[in-house]
Amino acid sequence: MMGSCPEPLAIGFGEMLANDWMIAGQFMYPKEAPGRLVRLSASGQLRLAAIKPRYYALADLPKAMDEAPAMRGLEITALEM
Amino acid sequence: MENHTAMKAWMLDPATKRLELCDKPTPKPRRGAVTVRVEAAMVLSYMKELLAGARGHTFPSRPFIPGTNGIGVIEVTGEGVYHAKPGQRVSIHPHLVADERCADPAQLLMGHPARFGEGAEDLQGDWIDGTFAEYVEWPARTPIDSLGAMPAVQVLGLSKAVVPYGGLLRIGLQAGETVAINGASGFYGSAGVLVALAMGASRVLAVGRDAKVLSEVARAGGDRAIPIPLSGDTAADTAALRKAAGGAIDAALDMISAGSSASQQPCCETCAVAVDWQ
Repeated sequence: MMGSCPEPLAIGFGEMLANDWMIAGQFMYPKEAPGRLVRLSASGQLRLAAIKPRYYALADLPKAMDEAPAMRGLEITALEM
Repeated sequence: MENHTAMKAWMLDPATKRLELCDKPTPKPRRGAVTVRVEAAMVLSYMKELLAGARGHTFPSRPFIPGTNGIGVIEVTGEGVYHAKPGQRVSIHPHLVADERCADPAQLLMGHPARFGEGAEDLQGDWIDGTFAEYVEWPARTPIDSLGAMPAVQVLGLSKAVVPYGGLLRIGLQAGETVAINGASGFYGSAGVLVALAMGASRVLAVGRDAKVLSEVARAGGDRAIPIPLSGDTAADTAALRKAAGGAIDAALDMISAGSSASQQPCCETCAVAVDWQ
């Protein structure tokens, strides 16, 4: 479980044991993760070519923040200095 | 190196939540830190809400520069920096964990008010300023080099991908497994689909509510990614997941956002219900 869903997760004891489930939470990532992703990208295994940017100037941060919630899927919003 | 002594930076006053573009001195790196000239900085989808204090975080007591991930070039290195060098192009990550061998080290996000653990307030006092500036001071232990000529947009894409990567590592996703990514039309979930494929998953079920975006994400991933738009009918959605998986799912990552309303909450449960169902 990651993300920020505010609702509790309704899972029964019976379901847990019948299915050998494990549920784990995770905040962020281990320190070696960003470097490994760089290598996964360089090797072609991680396909980042589909990431679509929306760039704004530094001074346009308020506009960028106003428009960022409309991002969907593989879009990113960024300030370009 | 050129001698830059002044810069533009956005400052947030925690008392008023007022955000202002200011002229500031370029930060000089402390011991163990580097100053990076920022090329680009990512703006989170919820940044406006976050900086308005609507997400319930504990803000630092002093005004600070917001902004989390970015890409830039190291301008100056402080004393006690052994590997980073001026001129290196690096990706900047906000996740900082106190580097002490204790059971529960404090952690936080730089340029973002999230902090956890005893000692986090002091850690935040030292390292709260972020990337919405022309220059940033960053602990030398966190930027990642070896980017080569990777386009800036892809480096920023790594910032999007590394968060679900943390979750997929946590659940021990193995090559050959079938994994469902719930929230796959969202900011982090969409990148999670690409990361699961890179980790060798045989099938990645891109689960979410927006069928059009899910199709785009799955297309970007290739043949092993299957879009699964949810109907809201848990039984039907579970059946669709099992059909696409060819049976039980090995693992699921749920990246549902705070924007999910109570009526969307079954999304949180659908994946879990389909995992390993005997």
